[in-house]
Amino acid sequence: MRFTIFIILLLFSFLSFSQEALPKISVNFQDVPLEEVIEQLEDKSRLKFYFIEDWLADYRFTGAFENTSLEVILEEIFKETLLNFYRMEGNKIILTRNNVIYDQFPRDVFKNPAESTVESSEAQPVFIAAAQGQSNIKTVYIGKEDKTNKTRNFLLSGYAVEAESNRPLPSLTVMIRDRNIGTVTNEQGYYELLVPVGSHLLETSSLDTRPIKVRLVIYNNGELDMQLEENFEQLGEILLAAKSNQNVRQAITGLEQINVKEIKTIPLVLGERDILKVATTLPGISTAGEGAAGFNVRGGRADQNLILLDDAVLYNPAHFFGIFSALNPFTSGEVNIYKGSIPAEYGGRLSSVFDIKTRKANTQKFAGEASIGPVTSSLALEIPVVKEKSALLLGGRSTYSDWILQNLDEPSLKNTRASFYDIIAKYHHVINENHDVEVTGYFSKDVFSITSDSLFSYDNRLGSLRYNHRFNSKNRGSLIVSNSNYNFNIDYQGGNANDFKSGYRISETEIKYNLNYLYSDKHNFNYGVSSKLYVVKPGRIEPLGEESLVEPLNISSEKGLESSLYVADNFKINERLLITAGLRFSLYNSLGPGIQNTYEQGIPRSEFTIIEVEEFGSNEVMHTYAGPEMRFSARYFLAPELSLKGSYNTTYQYIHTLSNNTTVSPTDTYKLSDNNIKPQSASQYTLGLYKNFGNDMYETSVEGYYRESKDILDFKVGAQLFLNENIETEVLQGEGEAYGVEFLIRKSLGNLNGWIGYSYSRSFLKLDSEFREERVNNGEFFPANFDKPHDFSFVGNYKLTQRFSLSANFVYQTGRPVTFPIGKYTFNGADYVFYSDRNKFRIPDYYRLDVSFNVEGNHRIKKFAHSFWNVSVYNVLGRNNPYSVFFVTENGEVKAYQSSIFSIPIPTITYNFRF
Amino acid sequence: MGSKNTPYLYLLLCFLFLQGCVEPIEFENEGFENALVVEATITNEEKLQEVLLSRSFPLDFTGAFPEQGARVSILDNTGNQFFFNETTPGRYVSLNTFNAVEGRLYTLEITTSDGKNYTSDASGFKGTTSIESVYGVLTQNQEGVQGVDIRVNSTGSQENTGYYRYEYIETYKILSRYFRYREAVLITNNNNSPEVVVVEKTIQDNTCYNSAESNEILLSNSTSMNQDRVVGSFLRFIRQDNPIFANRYSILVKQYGISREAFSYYQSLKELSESESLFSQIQPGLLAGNMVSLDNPSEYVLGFFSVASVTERRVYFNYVDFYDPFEQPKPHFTDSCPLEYPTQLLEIQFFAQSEQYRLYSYDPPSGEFIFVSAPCVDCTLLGTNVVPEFWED
Repeated sequence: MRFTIFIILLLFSFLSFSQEALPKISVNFQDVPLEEVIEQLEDKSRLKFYFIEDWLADYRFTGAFENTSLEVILEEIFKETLLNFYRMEGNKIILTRNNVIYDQFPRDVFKNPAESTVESSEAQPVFIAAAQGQSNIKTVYIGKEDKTNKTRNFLLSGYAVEAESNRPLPSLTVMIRDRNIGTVTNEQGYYELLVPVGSHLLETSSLDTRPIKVRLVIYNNGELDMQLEENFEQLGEILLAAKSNQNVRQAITGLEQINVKEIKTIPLVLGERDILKVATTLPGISTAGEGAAGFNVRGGRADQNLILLDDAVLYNPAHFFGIFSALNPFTSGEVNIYKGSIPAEYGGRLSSVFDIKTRKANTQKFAGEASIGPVTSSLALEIPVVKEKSALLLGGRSTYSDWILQNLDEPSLKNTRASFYDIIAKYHHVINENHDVEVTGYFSKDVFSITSDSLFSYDNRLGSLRYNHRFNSKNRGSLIVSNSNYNFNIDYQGGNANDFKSGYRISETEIKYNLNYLYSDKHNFNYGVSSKLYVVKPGRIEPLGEESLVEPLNISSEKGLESSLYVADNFKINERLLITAGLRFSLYNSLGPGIQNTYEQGIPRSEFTIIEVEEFGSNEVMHTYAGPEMRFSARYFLAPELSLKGSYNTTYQYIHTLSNNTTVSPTDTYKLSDNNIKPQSASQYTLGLYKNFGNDMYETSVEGYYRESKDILDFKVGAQLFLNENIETEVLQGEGEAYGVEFLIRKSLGNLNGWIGYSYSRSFLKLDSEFREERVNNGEFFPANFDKPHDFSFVGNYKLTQRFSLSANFVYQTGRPVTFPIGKYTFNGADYVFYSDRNKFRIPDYYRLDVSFNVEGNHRIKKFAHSFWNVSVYNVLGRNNPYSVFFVTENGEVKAYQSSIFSIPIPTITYNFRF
Repeated sequence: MGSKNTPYLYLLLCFLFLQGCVEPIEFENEGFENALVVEATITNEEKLQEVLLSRSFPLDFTGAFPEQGARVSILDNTGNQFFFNETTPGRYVSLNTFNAVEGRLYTLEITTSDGKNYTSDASGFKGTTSIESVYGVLTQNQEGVQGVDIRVNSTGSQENTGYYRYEYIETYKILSRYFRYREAVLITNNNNSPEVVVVEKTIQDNTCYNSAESNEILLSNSTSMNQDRVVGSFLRFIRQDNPIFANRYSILVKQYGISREAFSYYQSLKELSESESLFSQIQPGLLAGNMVSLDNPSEYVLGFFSVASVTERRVYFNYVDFYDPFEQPKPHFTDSCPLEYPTQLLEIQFFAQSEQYRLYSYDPPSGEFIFVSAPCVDCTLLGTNVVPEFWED
């Protein structure tokens, strides 16, 4: 009906004539409903008002006028409302909501639509076509049309919450289909969208809520909060990147997104819902082996990933040698993994960025979630502090393995210990719509002792503070301060003169100011500055006990400052072509106090070839490296729902792990670049095709990449890395080369959903030098430790009924390269093996099938807890996947052994509940 | 340190996850490379120096593959050259005695019988070392078995690098479990038929001696100590039930003061050959020593040429110094010594001529022969009955 009125009004508007002035009246209102106000005005004048009663329902008015023109009175009355008024011929006053009635026919109406996108100096009127027939789509009006407002685009913002619990809904896609505009809500459910003036169809989509569609008529900047209903039908489905057709749409290449809520039915090992384990089922992300800590992304070393937990670097994201990740599944929100084009905002690592965000707690009511598994238990609590403004999220997780070990009737295990825990707290506070603050603190610790005389432990500690500020509708900024620490300790107490305590520590503090400038619907800038101070204590050893003769040794600490300045423009050239061009200038200073060795040129470095030792004072710049990093990516629509993307990326890395192991170990140490150890650098080219089918039900992509890297660190055979004062004498720096092609097919909706990923990728390393001892494999390219050409994953979920579902994973990978002995020899009275060229052989292929059965508790609203059971069997086929093959000289004889981690099927039951 | 704990880590994980983790496998050898292996330590002791040359061999082979017919010489940087002569296959001994001199650099040169030339990096030694003491400590090993740890305390002179390598030769006294005085001999009598006669035994088989050389890489270093002194370096653990320690045991410890390069070579060799940790596998690879082929620089040459100072010390230990023989009876080489009582003549003749048996007792009135398993009464089967020259009782 309203639409018919619009038409009528529009017609009237064409027939307007010049008007005589309205009479002046005196009137006084004291908190009077608007309808009554209008009735009084009608009584006091000859005017007749036309309107829809609903429009006035919510308004009341207070004000007194003494012999004032009716025009002024009406202005005043409607000033605070969404209503406009129009005086027609005679004494008719027509009220309109949102619209202004134009009494002159706008010239632009007949212009070519293409030209009408040109910025107009005049405010553009909005005409809305009447909908044909009956529509059940609700219309919302944002702002009041203002004849003086010349802006073409308005900022729409608001919060999306779940209707029942008022829980914020993150990762909800909000989009305007006809204009190809869309965004995604952040963890607080907040979104902002720059919308052209006029009428649009606004839609939402997400995995766990029912979509809503509203007709949006926008006249000004405004807010639209949405309440969505939870979609229980889809609960428990596996879905990654639920952001509709973003994969096709955005310019960025090689981005993977995982939302923890969406992975709960994936089969588990030992009952841990693990976001990082799921990541490894995606093409391009792998680990060196089952139970190996660290990730290899697109043929990069494990130390080339920037793992951020709420903006702070998490140095060791693993517990228990990598079998568990160090993230509490209940507090993790989502992780974005940038493996192709890394946004200019991030830097300092070559291969990828894992941007892990912790959820924000519910500000409305207390809530919690807990799980009980066979080895660990975890708990998360959401505690509102100031209703609707701030809340605290607390998470904790611990293992009972120590207790299990103590109770085993096995003497050789009596002295063993193995335990870990992690705790996290996140507080967020919305000061007002323009300011909010987030604070995160995290601590994790692992302790293990394998014999009675030694004790290993390591811990991560990090904290971050993020202050988000919106300057105006176009400019937003975030000030981020973060600090991370990683420590490990080895204590040895054998009861003799060699007892010691030793340890390693790295700490970093970063300040970053990140800004966004929504310049227009074509340009969106991201820019900022960051600076990070590293302090490394590369090792100390001190005597333990009075008898110990160990001399305390404290390798002098290292300091480095990594700073950067970056700017990126998200530039929509036309409807088809979108580019993101970013430049990051990175500067690294190695800082004193310290000594810097200069080695004689032309002979291998050793402690005997130092020709000059230079000493530097505190904070004196010892060495500087600097360079620009390119971050360019582009998307081109070949057809609707079919896009071609390409990117070119360069990166620098100034911090290196020192590890002479084939896989990551908790006792790996980090070393900063200095005059002898150059920064690593890489450049990556990516090209991909993305196509969605069936209304975004099926997502497919093919992405190929080629990556070159320089000055990748490696070590001489048998290098001593810990407590070595001249580590550069053991270091080799070489070239890396990696390439691959990745396929992904994903079905996000329906009773059967999941994905299939496959990648063919290679990664090679070359360590060449003019000196024999610094050459590996004769200075030729050889496969890296994590070079696994074929990698196939299937993850599927089938929903039997509302409450029951079945899931399965299948993984197949080429066995990783290893160095095997190729012969034996007798030396010093015993037989020893001698090894082949590095990584000449491969261990057998890896494959594994896991299944799980999930039972969702019923959805009775008044139930205390919402429960979820997961019964999983890991490695159903009982495949004895070799983790490594190694050789031991025992009593002068060489023996071959194979180790495997989970060689038989492992069943687990986990009980989760939410309250 | 981490590596020797490895079996426990496996066990831990196995129990924790109810899994079997490590199993021995059959390994097929691929890509075998035949390489020259050099083993030589030239010391500051005036003696005939030795160089051992051999070839590598496939993994499924056992045994020694000496490199024969090579020309070997050592050159020092003052122009002296020392020639070597092959005495037994693969063992090359210097023609004359000489000793390495501190401060000089030595180079080993080899030409194999197929005409290939090899040379070493120039090597030398600095300073000398001394053995402060070698001592035994009653202790338990990681499995909780009681035994004696043999340890050494070492010190170096001021110029010494602080890197030590040890070798030892252990010699132990063997006492036969049972003593005998007579032996049964099969003779042919006048009737040309065999006859068993009992005579006084002709050899001393009650007390014997045996020796064994270490074949482990034993290293220590004082670089993390506040003086060039290493205390309690572990040499050997002898379980209480090991019979070599049951009577009197002697160990000759040779201590080499080696260069940092040699230390790191031996250390790497040791690490590469030891059992590894499940979750931190040391990157294996070709361990380059200090030998190189002059003809083909990419040819693998294994082993190390080391120049070192040497010192040695002998010590003696008795079982009773550590254990109370009444509470912990001495272990024996022979676990069981069943007696045989043959009555038939043919049986008696069989035992009398068997190498596996010795006469234990003979009773002339009854004509009863009692035989016993040979090692129970004849220690010459376990060692030599010649008292070593150095032996002190």
